[in-house]
Parts: sequence; C-alpha cells; structure tokens
Amino acid sequence: MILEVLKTLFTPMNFLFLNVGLFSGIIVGALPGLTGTMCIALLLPLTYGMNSITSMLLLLGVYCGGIFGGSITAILINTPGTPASAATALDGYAMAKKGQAGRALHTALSASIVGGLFSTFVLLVAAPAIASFALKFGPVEYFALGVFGLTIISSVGGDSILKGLMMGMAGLFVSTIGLDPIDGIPRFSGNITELLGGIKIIPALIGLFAITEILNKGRNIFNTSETPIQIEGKTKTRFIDVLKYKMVLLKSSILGVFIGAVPGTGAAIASFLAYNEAKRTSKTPEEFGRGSEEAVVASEAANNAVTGATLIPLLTLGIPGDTNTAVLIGALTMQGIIPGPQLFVEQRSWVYAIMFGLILVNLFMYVQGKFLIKSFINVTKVPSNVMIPVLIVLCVIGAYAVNNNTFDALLMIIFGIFGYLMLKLKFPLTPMVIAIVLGPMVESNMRRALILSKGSWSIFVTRPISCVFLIIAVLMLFLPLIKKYLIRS
Amino acid sequence: MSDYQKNMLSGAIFFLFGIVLLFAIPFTIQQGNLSAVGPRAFPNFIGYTMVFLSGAHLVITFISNKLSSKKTNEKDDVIKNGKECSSQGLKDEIRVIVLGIIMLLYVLTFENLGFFASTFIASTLSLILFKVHKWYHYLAVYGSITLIYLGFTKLLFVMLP
Amino acid sequence: MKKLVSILLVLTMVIALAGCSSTKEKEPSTQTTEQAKETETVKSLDFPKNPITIICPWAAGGSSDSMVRAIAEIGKEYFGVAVNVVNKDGAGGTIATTEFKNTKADGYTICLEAVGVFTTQPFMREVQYSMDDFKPVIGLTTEPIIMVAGKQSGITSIDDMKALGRSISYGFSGTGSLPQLAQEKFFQDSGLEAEGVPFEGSAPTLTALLGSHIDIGAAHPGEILQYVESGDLIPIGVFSQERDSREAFKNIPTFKELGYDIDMSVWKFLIIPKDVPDEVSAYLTETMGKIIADEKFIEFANNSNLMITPYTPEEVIQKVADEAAVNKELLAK
Repeated sequence: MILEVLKTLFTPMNFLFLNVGLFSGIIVGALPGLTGTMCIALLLPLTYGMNSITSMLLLLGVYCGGIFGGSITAILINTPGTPASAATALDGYAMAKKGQAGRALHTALSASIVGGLFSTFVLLVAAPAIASFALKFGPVEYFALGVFGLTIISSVGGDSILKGLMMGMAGLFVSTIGLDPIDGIPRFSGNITELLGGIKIIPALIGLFAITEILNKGRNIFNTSETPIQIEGKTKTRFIDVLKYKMVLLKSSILGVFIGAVPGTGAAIASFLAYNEAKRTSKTPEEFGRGSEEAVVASEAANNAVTGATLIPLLTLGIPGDTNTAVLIGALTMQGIIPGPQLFVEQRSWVYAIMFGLILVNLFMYVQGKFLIKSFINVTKVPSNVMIPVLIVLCVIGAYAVNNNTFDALLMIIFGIFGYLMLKLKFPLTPMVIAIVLGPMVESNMRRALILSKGSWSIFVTRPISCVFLIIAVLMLFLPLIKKYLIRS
Repeated sequence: MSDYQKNMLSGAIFFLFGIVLLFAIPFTIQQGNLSAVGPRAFPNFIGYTMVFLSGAHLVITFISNKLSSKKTNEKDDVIKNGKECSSQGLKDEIRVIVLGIIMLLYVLTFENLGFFASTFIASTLSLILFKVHKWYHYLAVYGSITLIYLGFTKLLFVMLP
Repeated sequence: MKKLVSILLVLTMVIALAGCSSTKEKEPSTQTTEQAKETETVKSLDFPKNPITIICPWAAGGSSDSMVRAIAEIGKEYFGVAVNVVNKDGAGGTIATTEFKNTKADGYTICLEAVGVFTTQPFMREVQYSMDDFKPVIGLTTEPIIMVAGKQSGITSIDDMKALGRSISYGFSGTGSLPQLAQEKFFQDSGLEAEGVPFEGSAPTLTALLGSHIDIGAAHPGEILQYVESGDLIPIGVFSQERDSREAFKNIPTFKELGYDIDMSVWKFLIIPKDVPDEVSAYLTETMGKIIADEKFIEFANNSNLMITPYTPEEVIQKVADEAAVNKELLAK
C-alpha cells in the first residue's frame, strides 16, 4: 500500500502546486493582518477542478507556509504576520535588535521544520488514539485549559508581575466587548454596530505590536545611537545547530501537537504555552524577552507542530482542529470528500497520501524558507524613514482586509497609541495580547460548564482533566513569587 | 517624569478605570436570562480584580518609595529620564504625536478619499516628517504603494476602496 | 544591488503566480462570449460593466462562505465580469446587513442572507435594518434542521428522553439561531426538563455531541450525515413539514408525525438594496437563477447536502414575513 500511496503523491503537478501553495502561504503569512486562513479561503475556488490530493497539497502548503511567514515579519519588524507568531516576536525581534536577525530567522525555520515533522509523525502513527483523547475536552476542560493559558501572563509580565496582571485584566476587558457569547446581549458596544462583533485579535495584535513599534521608531529615527538592524557576519545557522535545544524542541512539539489536536484551539495558544514552558525550565530564564534563541525555538516548534496535529481530528473525526482546517473542510466538500471516521476506513490510502504529503510540505518549506529569508533580509537594509510609510500602509491594509472594515484599522491605530503610552509607563504588552486571545475561550466555556452543571462550581475540580490543569495553573501563577521569596531567604 | 510618578499615575488610572467599570456594568449590560452567571459576571470579576491589583500597586509603590532613600532615587531618575526632557527629547515626542495624528487621519479618510488618495497624502506627510529629501526615495515609496495595490487587488482579491 | 536582484526575483515569482491564476480565467472566457449572447437582449441594459461583489456576512471557510464562493466562481461565466466575495462576519450577520443598507443601489453589490437575520435576530435586540430596506433577488438553498442524540447518551427516541429521568442538555450553534428555537419549542411543548448550551459554530457543537458532553443537538443534514451513517449520532426527528426525501434521511420522522408541529428550516437567499433599478434586479434574478441551475452548482449542493430552492422575490418576502411572525411569538416568551 505504501507504494501505491507514494505513486499518487509523487507527481509533477503535486510538486508544482505544493510549492506554489508554500510560496503564497509564506508571503501572505508575512504580510501583517493577512493570514494563511484567508489565503486558503481565497484559493478554494481554484481547487475546484483539481485532483483532490493536489488541492490538499496546495492548501496544506499555504497553511504551513503561512505560519512560518508570520515569523519572518515578527522577527524583522516586530509585527507578527499571524497571531501564531506573536510569541516569536518577543525574543525574535530582540535578537534582531542585537544584530542577530539572520540567526533568529534561520533558527525559526529549523525549529518550525522540526515541529512540523514531529506532528506529521504523530499524525501518521497515533491519530485515532489522540483524537479520542481530544474528544474528552468539553466546556469544563476548555475552561481549565484557558485558565492555564492565562497564567502565562505572570511569566511574560517582565519585571513586575503586578503590572503584567493589570494588563492582562485590560485584555480580558477588551475581550468582553461585543455580544455576550451565551445570551447574545451587547456589552460595552455603545451604539457602534461594528463593535457588536467584538474586537478581533488581528487589529489588536498589529496595533499593539506593529503600530507601537512604528511610533517608537518614529521617535528614535534621528537618534544615531540606536543601531539599525544589522546582520552580523556569519548569519547562517545550520540545521544541526538547532538540535542543541533537543529538550525544548521535544517539549514544544508535544505541546503543539496536543493543542492542535484539541479542536478550537490554535497555534497562538500553543506557541505561548511552549514559550512559557521553555522559560520555566531554562538555564537562562532572564534571557527570555531579551533575545533568547531558546525562546524562538520553543515558540516556532510549537506553532508548526500544530499544523499536523489539527489534521488529526479532521481526518479521523471530521472535526476541524482550528480555523485553517475548518476552511479545508470546505475545500474537501467541494471535491465531494467528507472527512471523518468513514473516510479513514474506506479510503485509507488517500488519507495516508495526505499525511505523507505533509512531510513533503515541511521539507520543501525548508528549501523555500532558506531562499526567502535571504530576500526578506535585504528588505531590512532599506532606511527606516522610507520604510515606515510603507509599513503603515501594509498594516492598515492588513487590518482593513480582515473584515473589509475601516473601523478595524481605526481600532488598530488606537491600540497602537495605547500600547505606546503603556510602554512609556513601563507596562508590558504581551499579557494583554494573551488575554485578548484567551478571554473569550475562558469566559464562554466557564458559563457553558456552569449551565451543564446547573450552577455547581465543583464540576471544575471533580472532572480529572480540568482539575489537573487548574492545579498546574495555580502553581504557575504563584511559582515566580515563591521563587522570589525562596531566593531572598 | 520619575519612575515613582509613572507608577503612581498608572496605578491611579487603572484604579479609576476599575471603579468606573464596576459602576458602568449595571447601567450598560442587561441581565441575562440563563442562570446567575450571566453577562455581567465576567466584567464584574474583571472590575474587582482591576481595583484590587491597582490598589495593591499604588500601595506597594508608595511604601517602597518611602522605605528607600528618597534623594538618591530622584537623582537617578533624572539621569535616566533626563534625555526625555531635553529639547531633543521633546522634539522626538512631538514627532511621535504628529505621526500618530497622521495615522489616525489616514485611517479615517481611507474609505472616503479612496485608497490612492489617502495613502498618497499619508505617506508624503510622513516622509516629510522624517525629513526625507532625496526625490527618488519618494518615488520608491509611491512605486511600492502601487505594487502593493496591484498585488492585493489582482492577486489576493482583497478589495481596497 | 542585492536588494534590486531580490526584488526582481520576487516580482517574477509574483508575476508567475498571477500567470497561474489568470490562465485559469482564460478558459471560461471562451464560454463567456457564448453565454453573454444568450442574455444579449437584456445586455442592452449595459450591466454589468464592472466587477460584481457578493457580501457574505459570515466568516471565510464556513458553509455560507463556500456557497458564495461557488456562486462567484460560476458567476464569472454568466455575468462576463469578475465576481468577488467579501466577508464581513459578526453578530450573526447583523453587522454586514446593517452596512449593506447603505450600499450604493447600482446592482453591483449583492448580499447573501440567511433567514435568521430577519426572523430571529430582530427580536433579540435592536437592529437597524428590516426587509423593507432590501429587495430579494432569489432564494438559494434550504437545509432542514435535524435533532440528533449522541451515541453515549442512550437516547434513540422521544420516549427514551421521557424515560431518562434527568434533565437533558442540548446544544446549538449560536444564540438566537433556528436550531436553538426549534429545540427550545420542543422541550417546552413536551414538558421535559432541559438546558440549552450555545456554541460558537456547528463544529464545536458536534464535537461536544461526539464527546458526549451534551446529550442532544440539532444540526443540518450535511453536517451530520457521516455520523448518522457511522452510528455515532442517532437521529430523533426533523423539524419540517415533510420527511427529507433523500436516501440517507428518509427514515427520520418529522416532529409533526411525532406529535409536535414544529417547522423551522434554515434557508438562504440573495438581496440587493431596495432602490436598485427594476431592469437590473430582474436581470440579476434571471442570471442567478441560471447560475444555481448550472450543473456545477448542483454538484456543489449535492456534495454539501443542500436542497436548492429558487424562491422568487415575492415568495421570499412572504416567507420571511410568515416565519418572523411565528418566531416573534416564540421569542417573546
């Protein structure tokens, strides 16, 4: 059967479209505001006449490429192209400021490949088992997972955990704006119709990261003591170099696979969790946030490990693991293929072709990545005062394109100004982003769980998975404080 | 502004925000119909936590300031933040404000004036703000904007006004 | 220098990509001239000259979005111009609909609508639009709502539910949606104790059902077909006047047969601003009718298990008004 699978896979058309998808995915992912998801949706009609495997390869290429592409701009200009790369921007950009942009990019690429290949391996070997575990996640467990995610705030809060928590609260507040997820009652939206849909993550993300940075650059533009982003002499890291972070790679990939397999969670959550875990067990935790290569490895491996993992519930149960795979279902439906338990049994070779195809996607991504990094690095040689106007245009288009709404672009600028003021007052911005991403998941699932348990709060501790997550969350929240006290005494 | 002042100010702002939030909730959010944990619950939680955290922040800032020697603190702060108050520092901040205004105007006119007009104005203004003199830089920027427009509308089918 | 070379390389790749997407468009253009001739009499209308935009008030990749993209792709041949899709999701479709009210009434912008936007959303909160602001173009598809039980719940029929002895949890996608209303009415009429749990979309609802976190759910045939066939979900009944005639569903009783006269299905249609000139709207109705009769659309509908229901504009207005009246009463309770 393996030969049959490989025969259907190794055709020139497949290779061509795979690479077209990868290339488009990386470019679109790099552009702030545009995500791989959007690109997949745009390419859907094109796949109509294609062979189903070819179309899947094309779209998978976009998917994986999109996640890596976001990291490129995250590292070079502190603008994560997709929310999945937000954690990479934290240390990646810091590395770029130290003149190590090339190193950061190559490390990110290698880590991404490792994560992607690991998840494909898990997909091939253990898909059904993981899928049935993922099904055990109901509203109670999602709430616990979300709370666990929120506690990361205490570790990315920089020097003052209190300030980090306050920004986290601000982020949670932002996430409540719009329609209540359970009762449909408008909250804090005033008379503005656009706010009813809530504040989307992309305008907030680009605003807090990119626009704030643009304002910062604007301030320092004539300040010659600020070194521009240089690329030091030997920028090429070989693939082997990344392997010195074996443990981090392994843990981050496992986290990524886990989060990807649980439906409804995405690469952003995975990368933050991995970042947090790497920092916790690192020998140099103080480096995190200041340009630690380890941090980049962690977040990149995790967010690409999500790619293979989201296919697990998709191919075994017909349930999308995240928004990208949800669009993939549309593509498959157009082809007359309904992913799910029956497909897995009746058309095994098709399913395996896709899985092997994902391996090819990752391998080609390494090749394309190396090449594209060179091109992108050249872009940074453009002087800031010319680059900034173009960046502003790209950001505005990106925020606008999410929902074809100028209001989102306006929100983005407001977030940017807010972010700049917060930075001046020495408040960290990352906790706010994490809270905006996770807030909705935490609140809606908490309320669902309470509806199911008829108001009984004990359900969160009586269900095992949830209990475990909540205990870990509490530990994570107080661990840094405990550490501080232990060091003092 | 010294660190102490910054912390007190920010603490006060968050504290105020929390209080306002707590008062605003009953006015703006209707009661839900499903059980006690309704649409007000989470915002209430956020409000109370915000007040608590910012209160703690204010208290801690105040106490740690009193404990450590006041004089050395102020001097260090002036040295650290002195740059901001110098004339160059002030010019930098004004530039940031102008840049912020340019961006706001750009976004507000994006749909009304159309993509090309608003982008043209915004980019020219920012280039001027950054004291770009060489004409070919201006050309390069306009060229890239055109390329961006073509790329987005033809390739990606993203509609721009 | 290096910068120029890399920019050039990127440009050539970009152009190659453009070449890729445009070769795909070259094929239909030979057909365009033929089909354009068919509608030549109406073409003296001088419409369309510019690209047409269809607005989809739901997110990219969802079922509504896939349908709009299918229409757009087929529409390129029939209209002779590019047809673009624009997504504006949020608040159950009400944001996009409110904005659509202010769109230029030249016929170049069309909006997809699901009946819930006019028959349930207005009764849940203040909305700034109504059917009077628009003119329907044509009805598109209908999907009935089927109630299913998770395998692990042990429920296979209404009697099982009554014998269960405990309160039943049911899930649906979106607050105020028709699946919610239908189930609510059923549980009210039957006197059974039940809790409704809203989810963000049909995928989370199905996931919760399959993971036996909720007992019952209601969804569309397309979404549950494979699970019904594999036995993971047990169908209880369908909320329509007659049984679904398609092979896989004809054994599912209607709720009317089971003693509960509840008839709610989700159907979708296209609208344009009410001031669009009559000739243009007639042309749009005629052409859209051809598009959804095209075999490619039929294939798409079959794959997604949608029933094509090309209601005329008058029928759309009537149906919306009728269903709104029914739902208004239900929601007032």
